[in-house]
Amino acid sequence: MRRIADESADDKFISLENVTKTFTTPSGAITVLSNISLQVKKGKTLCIVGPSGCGKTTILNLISGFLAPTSGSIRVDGRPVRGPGPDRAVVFQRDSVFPWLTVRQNLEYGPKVQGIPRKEWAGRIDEYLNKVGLQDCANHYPKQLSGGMKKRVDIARAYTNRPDILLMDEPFGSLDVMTKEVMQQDLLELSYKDQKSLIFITHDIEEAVFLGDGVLVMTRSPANIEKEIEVPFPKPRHVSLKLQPEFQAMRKEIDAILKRKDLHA
Amino acid sequence: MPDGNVTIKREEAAVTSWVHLRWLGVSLLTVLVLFFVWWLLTSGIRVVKPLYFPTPASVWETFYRMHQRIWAHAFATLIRVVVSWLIGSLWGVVVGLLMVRSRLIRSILSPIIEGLRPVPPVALIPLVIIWFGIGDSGKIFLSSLACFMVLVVNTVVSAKNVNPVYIQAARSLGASETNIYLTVVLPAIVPELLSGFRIGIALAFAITVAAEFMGAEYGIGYLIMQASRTLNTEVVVIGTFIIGIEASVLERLLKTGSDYITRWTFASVRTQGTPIQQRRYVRAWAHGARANLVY
Repeated sequence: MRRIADESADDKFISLENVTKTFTTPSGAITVLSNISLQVKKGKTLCIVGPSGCGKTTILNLISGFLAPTSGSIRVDGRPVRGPGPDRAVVFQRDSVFPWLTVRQNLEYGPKVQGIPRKEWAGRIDEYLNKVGLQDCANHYPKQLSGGMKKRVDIARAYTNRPDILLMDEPFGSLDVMTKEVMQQDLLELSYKDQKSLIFITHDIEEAVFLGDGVLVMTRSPANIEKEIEVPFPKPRHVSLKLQPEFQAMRKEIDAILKRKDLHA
Repeated sequence: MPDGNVTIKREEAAVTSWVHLRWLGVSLLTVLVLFFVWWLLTSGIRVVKPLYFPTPASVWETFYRMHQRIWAHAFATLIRVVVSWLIGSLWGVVVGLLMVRSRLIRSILSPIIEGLRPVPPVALIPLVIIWFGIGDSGKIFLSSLACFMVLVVNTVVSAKNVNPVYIQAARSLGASETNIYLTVVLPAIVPELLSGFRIGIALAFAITVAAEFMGAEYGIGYLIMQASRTLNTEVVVIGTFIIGIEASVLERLLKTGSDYITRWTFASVRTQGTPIQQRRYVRAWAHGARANLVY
């Protein structure tokens, strides 16, 4: 009996129920999300794709606690979300690495600011620096790094804080194709090994299918969930997966949904 | 590893020291020419009477005769300036941050600050002399008030401009509201604060000397005023020189300090380029090829 209860809690590790978000502007109220419900299982990755301005980032801001829903409930691990917290790390679309701190100090920021004794996390810093391949740049300032390197600092900083959930808002949007592929592979490995729950927003369908255990296709504002697709490919995955016909078929399917909706809009 | 223009950088590092020395030479030449013109006008062709501007020889002679007194006055002014600048600036930053943090404090203090800010501090000198007399405290009060005003406004404006993504990031990493002010807002506005500090120190000098003109027992301003009453132009000139030297030394120190503190900004030469270029730069620096590329 208890076991079943536990499993269902893990099934709804992140859950949004009938969430509506309305912004009041001088020219009237704008409903960005209406009646959205979604669930993410513990240790799974959900990718959200949709046209720009469809409210993807708003979903992320609601889960991270930067925004409060107009109606509906948002729960993480059974508890309602009341504000931002270190259990939910956010990797923003924009560069949010602190430029006044070195790479190492950026990674140390989270544990330090929470007042966790140094000996509990000192080893973690080098571990994650190595994982993202920045060990040689540990004492450099962000301005000395390229865009891709900064993004890796951002991700490593989020990881060092040992969150249960990673919320990522088009983190690789500004990267070139080569770097992006490396970063995707790294992210897959990192999130798979540590069994992190991940919500990943992107407008790149291929990226969504490659990273996600599920893909949520959204339509234009007020956003609705058009379709939720389960991605069957087992993890760990390799870049070569992208060339397989099943992968491409799924990519085309999502593409078709988005195109159809765009025509109606 | 991004390593685009390493060769160019390396050449630059080698060339820099020579280029820098050359331009330093030009600046030095300007100073020499000015001295020569001074000598020429007062001693050489003597078109300027010593009463209006003394000869270099008589200035040097006067300085040699009374240098101990001059140093005492110079030191008194310097202490007043530095103390008032430190007190005023630090309070300015603290109060500025509190004003950004709390609506209540902002509402209480803004009318006072907005009302006082347009008043030139020099206009308050008579009142300050009535309150504090002609000792140190009045001058320190007035100069620190001026620095405070500069830094309060500077802090409030720049703190409001901090990129919100940094604050959100800090919040999601577990920082408390107070912690965000100390670990994000404050470091983010340091470059703006430093320019406020530099304006503040110039202002502190101006106001201290002006206050010394109007009543003091010690200080360069007092020395100049006394000398001017007895038409002792040599001492007036020496006093003016001393102010110039003190102000520019403080300015230099502050510049060096702020260069180090803001080494993370894009404008800083200390950390320009990618890691590899940076290592080259540091090596070049170690070999003495370092130069102040940016003023």
